[in-house]
Amino acid sequence: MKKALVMLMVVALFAGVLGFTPVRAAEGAIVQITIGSTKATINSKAVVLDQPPLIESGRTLVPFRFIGEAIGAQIGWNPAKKSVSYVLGNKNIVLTIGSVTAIVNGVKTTLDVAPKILPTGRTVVPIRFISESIGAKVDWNATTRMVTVTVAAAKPSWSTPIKIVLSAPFTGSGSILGTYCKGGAQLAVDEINAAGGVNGAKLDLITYDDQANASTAATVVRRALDSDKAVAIFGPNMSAAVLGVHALAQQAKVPMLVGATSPSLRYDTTHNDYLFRLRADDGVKVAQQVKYIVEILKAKKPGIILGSDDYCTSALAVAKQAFEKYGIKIVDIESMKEGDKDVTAQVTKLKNAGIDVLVGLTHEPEAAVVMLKVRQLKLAVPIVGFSAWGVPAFTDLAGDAAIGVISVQGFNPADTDPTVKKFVDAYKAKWGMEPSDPAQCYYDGVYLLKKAIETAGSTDPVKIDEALKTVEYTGVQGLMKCDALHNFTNICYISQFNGKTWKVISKIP
Amino acid sequence: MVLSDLLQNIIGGVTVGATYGLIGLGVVFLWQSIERINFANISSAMLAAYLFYTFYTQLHLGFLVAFVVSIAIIAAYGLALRHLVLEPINRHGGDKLEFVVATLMLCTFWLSVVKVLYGGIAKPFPPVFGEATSFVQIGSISIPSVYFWIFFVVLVLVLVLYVLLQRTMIGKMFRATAQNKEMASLVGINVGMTTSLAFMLSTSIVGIAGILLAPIYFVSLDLGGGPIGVKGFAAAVMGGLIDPLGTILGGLSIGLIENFSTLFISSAYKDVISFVVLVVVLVWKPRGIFNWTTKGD
Amino acid sequence: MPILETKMSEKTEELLRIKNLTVMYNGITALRSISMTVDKGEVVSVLGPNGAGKTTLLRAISGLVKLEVGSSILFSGKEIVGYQPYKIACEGIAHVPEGRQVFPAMSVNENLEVATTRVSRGLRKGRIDSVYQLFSELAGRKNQQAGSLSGGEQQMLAIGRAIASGSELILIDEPSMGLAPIIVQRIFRTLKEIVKETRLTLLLVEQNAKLSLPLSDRIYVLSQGSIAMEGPVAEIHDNQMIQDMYFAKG
Ligand SMILES: Nc1ncnc2c1ncn2[C@@H]1O[C@H](COP(=O)(O)OP(=O)(O)OP(=O)(O)O)[C@@H](O)[C@H]1O
Ligand SMILES: [Mg+2]
Repeated sequence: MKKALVMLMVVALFAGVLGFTPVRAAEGAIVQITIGSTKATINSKAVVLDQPPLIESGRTLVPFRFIGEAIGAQIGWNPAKKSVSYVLGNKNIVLTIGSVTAIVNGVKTTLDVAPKILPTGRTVVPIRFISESIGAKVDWNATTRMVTVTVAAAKPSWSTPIKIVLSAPFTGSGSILGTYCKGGAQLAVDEINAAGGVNGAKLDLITYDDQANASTAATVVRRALDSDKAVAIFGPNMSAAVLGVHALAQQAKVPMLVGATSPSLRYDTTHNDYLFRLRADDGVKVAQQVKYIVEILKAKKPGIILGSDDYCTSALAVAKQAFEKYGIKIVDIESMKEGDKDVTAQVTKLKNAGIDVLVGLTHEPEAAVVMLKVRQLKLAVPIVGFSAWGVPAFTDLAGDAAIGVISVQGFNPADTDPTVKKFVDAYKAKWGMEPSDPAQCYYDGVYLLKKAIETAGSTDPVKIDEALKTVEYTGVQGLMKCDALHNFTNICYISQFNGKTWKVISKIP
Repeated sequence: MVLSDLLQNIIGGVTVGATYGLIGLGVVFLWQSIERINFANISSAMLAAYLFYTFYTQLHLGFLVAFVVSIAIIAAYGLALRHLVLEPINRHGGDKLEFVVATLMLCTFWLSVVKVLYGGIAKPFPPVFGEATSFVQIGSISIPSVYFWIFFVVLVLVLVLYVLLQRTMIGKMFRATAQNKEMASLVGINVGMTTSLAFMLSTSIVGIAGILLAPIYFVSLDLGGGPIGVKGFAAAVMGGLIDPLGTILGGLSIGLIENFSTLFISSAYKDVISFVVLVVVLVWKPRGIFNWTTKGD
Repeated sequence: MPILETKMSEKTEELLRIKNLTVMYNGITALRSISMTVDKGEVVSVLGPNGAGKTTLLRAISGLVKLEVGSSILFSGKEIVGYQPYKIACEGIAHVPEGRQVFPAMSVNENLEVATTRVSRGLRKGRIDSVYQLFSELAGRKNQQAGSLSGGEQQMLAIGRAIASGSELILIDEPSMGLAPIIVQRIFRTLKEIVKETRLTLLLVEQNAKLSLPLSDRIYVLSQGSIAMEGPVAEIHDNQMIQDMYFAKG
């Protein structure tokens, strides 16, 4: 008892003299020593050794206690067997003084150099063997004669599920979108959980119906924050709903990853550090649409059919600017209201204005109304529609009238890229239907979140938020990386409808 | 602007105008029968279209069965309107205004119900009146085949309604009930029955209109409110709320005004211009544009 | 002169028998245990001051007001209490209400037509034509909207409607109200003609006793919801109270 107490005091003193406290394993460490010098650093902090490291038969030997404590292992000393042991995580190493045989996790291994007791009375051990056996990295700089041991942070393992919430419309004007949002997110969650989860913890996806409505979305987001304690929120998917709720996420300091595409959700407008966008925004898409019209179709006299709500008018603003940059004058803009079912006069005027391309900036049903009229009145120019013109909600209504329509899309399931194909196949297998925009962005989003949690090494929403700003992830939409506008991607497709599928004309970037 | 463009626009305006008129007929009928304006008038069009879609496209019943069952349900709905909306209001001493408020809420209610049950995305209507992209070519003018159906049904409905209200005993009983319920009962008219029939006929007319218009409007929430509902009322107002023929002509005028104001002025002012015309008509001839015979009392 | 139907036997026959009729409006009694009879072919006048309950009496017969328990109205021997108003009309009681109540947005002819629901289809036109013969003023205005008729014409139309219906009993409430004396006389002349020709039964509420009494067989005088006096015209006419009330020289 007394002996043990003395021992303890000696160890304490010893540690005090050396001036370092053992690091916590979870945090990782970088240990640097120089041959022949008692000066060393642990995580850039200077420490002094009582015995300088030495080289013997090409191997660096260091004091056994120093290396053990520096890397955060538990150290054991058996005076009877003259053996030294290190335990770190699930690794167990036993060395015996004067013996080249070591036991790592019960398996015998042979050392190049045996541990030994120096004439000074210090016990030294081979640093490379110890370090590599417990999974650390060892670098040798021959010119500075410095050894760097890098101990990676041990992966934390959480037992409780990580809660994430999806707010998407299942009823209301955007109901089909909710199905896609959930389809994409759930697929990613299930894949991740089947592969062992995030650091051992399962993802738990809770889905709510926000009815594409700002006030319902606010209720959903409050519930996600207050009672579900979600670490991140996916959606809402409707721009107007996001505008109404993103401040809630900001206040609660919980990241919100959305597939809403209004340019007004860019970081330079919102200044919300917790709001991220998972697919190309409308401004980007319109710019690409115009670029295609001018550079590829070589159109000179564009005519526009325009819907009346914010989605349409903000697209018009971008389109006007883009055409202006090319020095091209829009020859005619005809408006219609959501719900209008006759556009005979509008299409007649566009036709008589001599347009050489029709730019469609409307929602899906209006796009169908326009196309039926275009076919009836035989307006024979290329039709290049905005994102609403590139989804089934339009082609289902327009039927054959949609054949030949070119559209700028956020996603095209017909893309032959292997990552896209893998996603499309998995989605079809799971849900029995083809994915459509925005399924891919929530799928990518969940994987992004996984990576951010792993990088943060924490499920603290604030830390996840920080990590989201720096992580890179290559998914269905290519490289995803948060830019200055908090957009993860600008990917879009220019595609043409052939009556069944959308043939990719070009994929940008 | 060439002649064919003009004709093409007249056809477009007339067709859409006829749809407004058709919806207006439901308004006229109820007014003629019980002097009430059902602000959920247009809901019957949406409900019928969705019912038909359910029976025809989802349950694969034949056209005739799907049509008859849908309209029967819509007629029953009309009866329910009477017993669950009109009568309770009357019992509690409510009048026209209370009915307006109740039916306004009903209109929103049905929109939400359909949204919840079918989602908000417009669905394609089965091509029972011909493919949407099948056009009849007459010279340089091209007319979608469904337009002919619309013209035909509008014509038939107007005639039937006109004869019913003006020429038959039951029609006169409807009108007598509308003008003075107590007196109607004193001359031996079963007011309960005429009221029920009026509701059922009103919802059925609009229901038929809904199915007929679905190829143009799609199976969508647009059939349950919005422009068509408002313009249906406008058409009915142009018919002085009593004249089926005037209502159809009123609807046609609105359709044509919309087309021509887009064509000759600007599409951006289309609704403003139609609205101004409507207000002018209301001020100038409050009892309907085609009502030349009577003076106000 | 046109031949209107119901030329029946001369012997008296009870058409309407009211027993113990009580009506309350919100707890206030408007009619108190009224009992009266009207024989077939009789013209019975109801007199009484304003608010006596005359209109209420007619409305009670037509089924327009709620009756207290114990009230009984026998029409042609049949209990009609509890019938809906249109049923009572179909039984053969026509009601020409206070204020005439024509259907304003229907033509004169249509007003008459809708009143003929209980007449068999083939006889309708004949009945309507007979009304035009009684009121030649209406004959030239068949297609005029009833709402645009003069007051007198509207009263003729209202009475015409009752005649066209082929009812056995006509209840008429204040036909002279708001009309010029000459028009009132014109209307009463016609009523007299009808009564003489057809043995139609009239229950007449009329403040202008000078016009109604010569037409009537019997009188009931209502006062504050009760029958104050009743009897044949000849007897009542000499009564001092009636003299003072209705025939005093002004
Ligand atoms: N709907 C009603 N609610 C409450 N009280 C009523 C109602 N109708 C009539 N009364 C009352 O019942 C009484 C009888 O009214 P009624 O109209 O029968 O009188 P009247 O004899 O016809 O009078 P007038 O000669 O003025 O027409 C009156 O006191 C009247 O105020
Ligand atoms: Mg009275």
